[in-house]
Amino acid sequence: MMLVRLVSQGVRDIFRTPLSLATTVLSLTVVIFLGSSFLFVLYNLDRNIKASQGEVVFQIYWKPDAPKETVFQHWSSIGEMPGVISLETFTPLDALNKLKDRFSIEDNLSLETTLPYTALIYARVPEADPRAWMQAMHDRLLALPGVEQVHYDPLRVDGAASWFSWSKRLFIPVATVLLTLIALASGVAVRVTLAVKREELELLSLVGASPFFMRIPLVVGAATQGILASLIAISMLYGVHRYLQTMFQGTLFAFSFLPQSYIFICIGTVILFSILGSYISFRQF
Amino acid sequence: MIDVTHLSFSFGNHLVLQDVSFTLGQGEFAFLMGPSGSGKTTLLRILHGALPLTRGKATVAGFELRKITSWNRHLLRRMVSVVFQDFKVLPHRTVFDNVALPLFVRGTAKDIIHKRVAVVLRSLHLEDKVQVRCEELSGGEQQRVAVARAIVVKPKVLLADEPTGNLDRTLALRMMDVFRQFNRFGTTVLLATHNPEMVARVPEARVLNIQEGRIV
Ligand SMILES: Nc1ncnc2c1ncn2[C@@H]1O[C@H](COP(=O)(O)OP(=O)(O)O)[C@@H](O)[C@H]1O
Ligand SMILES: [Mg+2]
Repeated sequence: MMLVRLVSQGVRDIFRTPLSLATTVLSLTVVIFLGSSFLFVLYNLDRNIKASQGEVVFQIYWKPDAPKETVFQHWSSIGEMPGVISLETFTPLDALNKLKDRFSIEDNLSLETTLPYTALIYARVPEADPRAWMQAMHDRLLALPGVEQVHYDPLRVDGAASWFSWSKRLFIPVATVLLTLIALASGVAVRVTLAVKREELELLSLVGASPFFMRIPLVVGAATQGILASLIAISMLYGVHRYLQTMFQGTLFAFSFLPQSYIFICIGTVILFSILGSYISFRQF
Repeated sequence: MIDVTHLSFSFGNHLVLQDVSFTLGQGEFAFLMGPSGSGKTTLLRILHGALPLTRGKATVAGFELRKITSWNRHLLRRMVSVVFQDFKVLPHRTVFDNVALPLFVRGTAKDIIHKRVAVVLRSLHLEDKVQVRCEELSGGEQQRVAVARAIVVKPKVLLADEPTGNLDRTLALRMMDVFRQFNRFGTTVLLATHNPEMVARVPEARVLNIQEGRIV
């Protein structure tokens, strides 16, 4: 009963000083928005690079004189190789039709005989030592009888590998700095509230209020401000996300919103540090 | 109820209280008489835990002041009410809110709060001001609000710091009668003043004279 009274008092109290409420929520919103934006960018870069790394493509050319049966046999055996996601195959006729489509060629040129059998192999590269895996795959494909050339882009793999080690090393310090910023902003918010209510708190203490009686409304007020600011900041970020989604539509770069666990961690940190901040600021009473 | 032995206190290197010792039994009424700057306010502040006890010993309402921390101080303050020299009323709150505050922080039920506040405000002739905000009151009225807030919880000990300083003579004397009546119900009263006329109004009271931080 008493607890319910104190909690509702904490919420009501912050609305009694609208100016302080507005500045606090605004500054918290800015920090949380910046923090979650960084997380958002990091998260999406990470995802997209991981995704593109998973779709490294081998292009394989058979000798023009390779027998049809051998090639068809290869097509079914390549599909079973470890790491292969999908296989796109082109008979000389397919290749010809593609060419025709591409260049709007109407007349029936007889290029068929000069074009080789080809295939695109989409494969997922393991995170551990992607370069060696690529090389091994390359060698294996090239060793198939009748295969003339195998191409892949080793640079792309290097890029992906170095991003992995970078993002792993960067993620923790960046997240720490941002969460600390959120914590500081929450702490300052509590101090502002405390300064505004100082006289009242002193009097409460003089007439026999228990430490919990004085702290609970403050902590609840601080947490409420944190939740308000988080909701505004996350909504803003969601707006940005929707905007980017339409802007990048049709490109390979796909944005996805922060997963719920990230958002809960963000809001949880704000609340946790509001409480810590109010406890620390409170030692003076 | 109040037991002070060899208490000394200084602000920085300014010695304000020197070797103060006295005892007040339950239900006693005592004046702390002394000129301005003699240390009355300082002593009262130590007795309700607003200043730390650094030298000597003191027990108030069964609490040893040395053992008071920010975690148990409210227990002392629930036994000891204070009328502050500067009132310390909340200016933006109503008379009712101010007087109800000590009951509210104790978790007293609403209907009991209303009854008690009404009785106390009537005894101090503030019944017309219940819903008036304190900033609209005169100094004397605010002082009476401060007294009402102190006695509404029926404390074991009442410390009052020049509680009649802002009142005209008639009101001041009437206020002394309120304290006296209150004391008859068993509350120990320690009242700081420099006005001998107030002391004369309570003939049964003890008088502790304080000068330059010493009880003489
Ligand atoms: N917060 C303080 N800091 C420094 N000196 C103080 C403080 N409060 C009071 N004093 C000094 O302590 C002495 C006693 O003050 P006080 O207890 O208020 O006397 P009284 O209440 O009898 O007028 C005075 O000399 C005053 O200047
Ligand atoms: Mg004084």
